[in-house]
Amino acid sequence: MAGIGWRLERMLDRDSLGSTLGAFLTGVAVTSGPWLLTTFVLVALRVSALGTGVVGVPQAELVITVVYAVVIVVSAPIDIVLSRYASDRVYAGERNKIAAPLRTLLAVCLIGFTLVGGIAMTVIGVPLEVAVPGTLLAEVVGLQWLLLSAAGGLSSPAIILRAFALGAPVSVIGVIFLGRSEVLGQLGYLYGYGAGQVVTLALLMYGTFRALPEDEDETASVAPAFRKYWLLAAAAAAFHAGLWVDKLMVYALGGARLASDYAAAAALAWLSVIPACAYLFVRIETVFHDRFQAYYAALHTGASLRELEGLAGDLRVEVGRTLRGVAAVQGTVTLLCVAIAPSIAGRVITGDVGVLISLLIGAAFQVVAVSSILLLYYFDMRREAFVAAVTQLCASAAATALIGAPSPMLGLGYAIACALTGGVAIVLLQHRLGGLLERTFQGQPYATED
Amino acid sequence: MSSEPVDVTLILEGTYPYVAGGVSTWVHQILGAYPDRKFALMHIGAHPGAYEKPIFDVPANVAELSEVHCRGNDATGGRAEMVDAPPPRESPSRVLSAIRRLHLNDKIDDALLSDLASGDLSVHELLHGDETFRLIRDELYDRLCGGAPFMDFFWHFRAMHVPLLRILAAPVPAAKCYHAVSTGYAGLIGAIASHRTGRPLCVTEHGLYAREREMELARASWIKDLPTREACAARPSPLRGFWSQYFRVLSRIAYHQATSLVTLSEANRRKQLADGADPRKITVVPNGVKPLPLAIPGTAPEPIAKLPSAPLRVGFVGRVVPIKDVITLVRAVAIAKEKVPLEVSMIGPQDEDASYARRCEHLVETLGLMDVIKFVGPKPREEIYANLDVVVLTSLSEGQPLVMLEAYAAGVPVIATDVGACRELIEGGDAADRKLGPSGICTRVASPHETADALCKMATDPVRRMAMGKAGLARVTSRYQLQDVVARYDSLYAQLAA
Repeated sequence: MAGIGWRLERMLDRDSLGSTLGAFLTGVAVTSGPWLLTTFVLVALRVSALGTGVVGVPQAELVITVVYAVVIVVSAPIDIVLSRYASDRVYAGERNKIAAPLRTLLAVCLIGFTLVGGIAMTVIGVPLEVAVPGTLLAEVVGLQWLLLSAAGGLSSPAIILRAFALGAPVSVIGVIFLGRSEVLGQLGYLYGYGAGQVVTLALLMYGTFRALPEDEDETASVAPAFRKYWLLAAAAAAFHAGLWVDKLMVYALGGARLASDYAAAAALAWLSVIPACAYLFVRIETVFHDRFQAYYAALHTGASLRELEGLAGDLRVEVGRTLRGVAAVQGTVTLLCVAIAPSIAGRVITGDVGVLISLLIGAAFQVVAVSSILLLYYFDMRREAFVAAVTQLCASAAATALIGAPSPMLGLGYAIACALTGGVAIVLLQHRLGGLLERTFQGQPYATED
Repeated sequence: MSSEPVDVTLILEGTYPYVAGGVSTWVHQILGAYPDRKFALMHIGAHPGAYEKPIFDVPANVAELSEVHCRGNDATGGRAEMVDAPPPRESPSRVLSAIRRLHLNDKIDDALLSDLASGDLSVHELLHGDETFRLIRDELYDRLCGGAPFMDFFWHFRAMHVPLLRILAAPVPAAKCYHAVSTGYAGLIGAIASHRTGRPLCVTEHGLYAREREMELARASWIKDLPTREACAARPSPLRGFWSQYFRVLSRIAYHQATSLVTLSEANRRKQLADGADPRKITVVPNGVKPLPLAIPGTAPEPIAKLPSAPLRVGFVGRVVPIKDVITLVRAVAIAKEKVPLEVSMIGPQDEDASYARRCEHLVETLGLMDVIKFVGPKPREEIYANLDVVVLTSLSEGQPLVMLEAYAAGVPVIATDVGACRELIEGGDAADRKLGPSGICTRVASPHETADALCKMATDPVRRMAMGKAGLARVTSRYQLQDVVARYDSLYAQLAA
């Protein structure tokens, strides 16, 4: 992200505990801010719902969970292509070619997510008065994610953080007030939550379009980017489907109640990856980015073969160091979480502590897998990223189905799938980095190839 | 492609029937001279669309005109996606092995030609295969261009060998014999076709291809020299040598496979020998011209000696391209016009290297010579020489310029640089020839002062100039007649096709 790496380096260079902590907290805010705020809102609402008299929580939670799951999976391919398109335009100095395609996509997605939301509500069989706010929420969340990817492509984390930071409290307040409403009844929860998300959407839209130049190119189109990045889109779809498929399998095998408990435990377990994500972010934006830049810059500044080999070696070493660092941070956090899991399990979530432990271990493997996939993206190894994502999707579905539900080993399938995916992603990454120099050169297209 | 082999497949690079010039004129003469022989023409161009249409009327005895291009169509240009490596080969590529030997081993032999002729390497494999990269990285870079940026070496390697593979893959019209009208890519195609079919190859070198490329490469701006510690200085890039060596090897491949090597002059024969040609294969067949109508012996009017005060009518006849070094001529005119009045006509096409032509015109403007030098474009040769007192050629390289022979046929003396057969044509090739007297003045290459001096001499001594014109006419009449050339090649083709 433009400028943030430099700011992080300055913080780290001060070499004090406070500045280092500041750098990693910045990493937490940027990598996990929107997701943390959304999770915080949902958990806070759940905890406070019982004490505040809000009614219809389980059904509202189900609707919200389904909306997020479906929208994230369906929008993932569109979002990643838009993000790359926006990044490419920024890199090419063509920011005026972003607004028009973004508006077109927003219009298309508004229609698309109305359909997606409607179908999802029909599938889970909620009554019409619930299906309507559920569908509206799908539209809002779908457009949010689209704008998130555009803002990400524009390297504007501030736009994202500000929008979610202001929208989250509105959601909480909305639920508390509208959830008590006798007129709306249980629908108040959904409308109240949705009001906050609309605020977030409005701020995202305002911030994103404000960051774009006024002299926009109306003829610009994002369609060629879909042809160019189709494999990336497929990888994103597979990856996000892989994040949800185990929940879907549990829902199919064990019913809504078990799925709800399982999803809540998974969300809790996933919170354990925040420190590792922050570490990864800081590492990638600082040391890794410097080495990455040094290698690719050397290609164009007259480096000899020996120099290039040295820089490629440095980059490989840094990739290994980054992944080991992520694993070390995550390992430490996971051990702590496993130790306190028995005391958490009964209070925050319902269900077996063994499930939570399995999900914690799974999350640990998954963060390593995600880090490796992210690095594959960084080196533009789309096919390998796709293979890793498909591994997660297939393995998670198969292993969860094999273990069955309900089962005391629930969550173990997810953990096995994540371990397998992590292994596959690391092997692919190592293999391709071993031939980094070859691929850097031999992969380059020749303008007049027939 | 016709299945019946033609008598001769002429292999041409960047010349007939698309480009004007001495070689094209020579090819046209040869084709027209043997209406009963069936020819096929294979033309090597830079890329599709480089030439719009033939500028010569190709005679009816040409059964086929085929094209091969060093680069493909640019329809896929601009593709920015990384390209996957091809699947690993079951056995090492023979062509890649030959490429390795082209660069690292001095020996040219039949095994090398067999490997090249195997054609077992696709352009995709060359560009994206790991085997190629290992060759570049492990064997070639350090030994050939260790000081150059690796990225530059890599791209030059690609740019060098993609045309090679395209040429190796090009279908060559079947013939009883192959005749390459230069070495380089044409010579390579001829050598491979000859090796594959067992039919003989004749190579005619007008200029010396490898040496001409070397001269171009020494000045090429598309090769970046290496920076030094001094801000305004640069070290010559080893890539220049990389390319020069490559073209020398291509010439030697043609020399190796050729049954017969034809050169235009004794001077060029000596250079071919120095470049590795087998002396037993070389034959000297000079160019020849048809007598011009006004210069038929016995009917030609005597050149009129004008008064020294009248402007000297100077003509440059040829393509306005760097190898003709028109810049030196412009500078020479700028020097000479301070002493003698001149009228200079630049007669010839300017479209082959438009940027160079613009540079020349710009220099004329900068030096304030617009009233003296006129770029008049191409003209029929019958209209050229009657209005000239002297022809000037300041070329960096020549074979045996037809322009000089045409000028002589019109009784016009020539000032020419000491390249190719120019000195022979001016001073005489042997004792009998020298007795005819000089038919012009020979100058050093890239020397505007010498050329200016020669112009001044021509302008101030009309009697001597007239004598030179007479000597030229006598020389061309006695030694450079087209009918002699036709007879020599008739015999050569008969031998080769037997």
